[in-house]
Amino acid sequence: MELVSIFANNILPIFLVAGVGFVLARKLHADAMTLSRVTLYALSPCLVFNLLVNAQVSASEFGRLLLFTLGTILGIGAITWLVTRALQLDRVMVSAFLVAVMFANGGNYGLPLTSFAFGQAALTRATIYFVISVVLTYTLGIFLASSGRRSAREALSGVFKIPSVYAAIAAVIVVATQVTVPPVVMRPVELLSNAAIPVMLLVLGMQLERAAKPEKLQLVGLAVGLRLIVSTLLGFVLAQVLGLDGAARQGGIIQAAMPVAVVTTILSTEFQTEPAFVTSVVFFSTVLSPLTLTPLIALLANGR
Amino acid sequence: MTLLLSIFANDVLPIFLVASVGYLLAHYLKADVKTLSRITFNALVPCLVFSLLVTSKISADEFGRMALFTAFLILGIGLIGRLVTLPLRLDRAMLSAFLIVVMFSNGGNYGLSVSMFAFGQAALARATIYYITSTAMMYTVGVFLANSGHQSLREAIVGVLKIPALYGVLAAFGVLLTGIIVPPVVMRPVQLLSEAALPCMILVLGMQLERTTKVEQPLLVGLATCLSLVGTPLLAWGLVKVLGLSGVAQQAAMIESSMPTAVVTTILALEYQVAPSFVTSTVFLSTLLSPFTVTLIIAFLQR
Repeated sequence: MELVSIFANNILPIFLVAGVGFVLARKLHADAMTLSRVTLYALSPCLVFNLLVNAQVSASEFGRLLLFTLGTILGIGAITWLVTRALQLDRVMVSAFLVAVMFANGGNYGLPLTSFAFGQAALTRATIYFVISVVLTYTLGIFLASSGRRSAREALSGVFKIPSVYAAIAAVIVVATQVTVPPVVMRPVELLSNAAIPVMLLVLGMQLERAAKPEKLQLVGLAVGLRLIVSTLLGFVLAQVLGLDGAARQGGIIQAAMPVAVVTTILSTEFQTEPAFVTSVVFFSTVLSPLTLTPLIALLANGR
Repeated sequence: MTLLLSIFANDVLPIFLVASVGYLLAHYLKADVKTLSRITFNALVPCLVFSLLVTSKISADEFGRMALFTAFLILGIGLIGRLVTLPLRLDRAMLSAFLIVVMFSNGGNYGLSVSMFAFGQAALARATIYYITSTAMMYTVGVFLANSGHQSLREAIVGVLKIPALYGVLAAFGVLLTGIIVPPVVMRPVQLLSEAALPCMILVLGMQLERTTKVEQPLLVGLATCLSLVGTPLLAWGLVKVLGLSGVAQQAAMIESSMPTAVVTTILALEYQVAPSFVTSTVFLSTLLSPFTVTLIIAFLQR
């Protein structure tokens, strides 16, 4: 019964908003490109800045969250690599597999879910995870998606094309210098930041509308299992090792348990690394995620 | 002076800053205004209207007086507009265009945001009543004027039924009348979407202004701008006294009445070919000059 109410109150609202995006894309031919650009260049940076500036996180907690984020992403990457070696997959497929398993949907799904399930304090921690994972997606993710065809330098320069990275840098400067941001700047930023999560969810729904038919079902199933189950377990272990507790534990583990990021379909399409496979993994891991996330929220809410 | 500056900086400037982000998105990233405005007006605004009306405690009596205020104000300034233009002997299309720009102000993306910033959530809820009523009038009286007096009753009804926000109002009425408590599984998605409504509306405003051009027919445009920014608030001040609107309702009513010409009027003008360049110019000039009058009116209401 507790599980039903967790599902109805925390997860279903997110799927309903994404459903609105799906319907808008289908019936009104709303263009996902415009909305995702508006999100990437205006809304997301404002959200990152707003949350980080208002975050009451100590340097030590920030450091442990940084290690936790790197640990879960690189850890699940290492496990996945071993699995692909055992299966003797070809080079392109290994890249696709790594991209689809390592990069979770910390933005449009992870942030609202954390906020609904655990409130503002956990949301702040989840944001730190999100920002770090975005930086990794646009460096390591691009490097992997291009199957090593790109130099490390090119991959690194990609990071500086992400507006959210600048927002994070600006927030760190504001926090470090203890400047008070005047309302004339903070109000527009807050206004745009309010729109970020709902618009991200609409984009998620619009992108799922374009999901293709599943291919290579067994491999898709394996990737989904690694993403939703193994990564979650890894999150629990690392939270224990790093001594994360309270809101940091809740926000961190929820983020580690998210399904595959929608942006991976864009990366794999761009670099032609099995886009149909990656899209299928995104679709199935998202659709199946309520089954793993509902018990997870129940566990974390009880402080276990 | 410092009071005026702080009102401008805190309540009006943030809206223009967000609108300029919209302008830049449209200009440099070729973001498509149609997509964003469709999403905003079909999905986000109905949710905003619903959640505001359900959570704010507005009596049926106050609702009625607010709607009456809107109707009287729009018809009143239309009548004044007609009288002022009598000596100018405008042709039929030009007269229609003039009346449309004077009567229909930007009560949506601009008015709702200013109401929220200057006077808070309670004023915002009242302002939505103005917004709904004026939108309904836009699709009836506005289309009637643009279509040079041709509009059947059926077309008018169909036009009103096409306003997505109307369904937010009807759903809210249903909830309020039956006393149902909306469960979180419905209220949370609605609230989530409603949070995006104001920022997206302002982005749309900026994107729409990106497409306006230079000002044509400066004298007529100036006259229409004057009526819209100065004439309407003066008439509104008389009407709030007559109808006994006070407190947040008075603040919301005055803010809404002080708004520049609605951006939608350009669409109406284009569709029915009633002096579209004149209408676009008026939208542009009145929006650009509005910070001066709006700041003064907020200061007057806060005194």
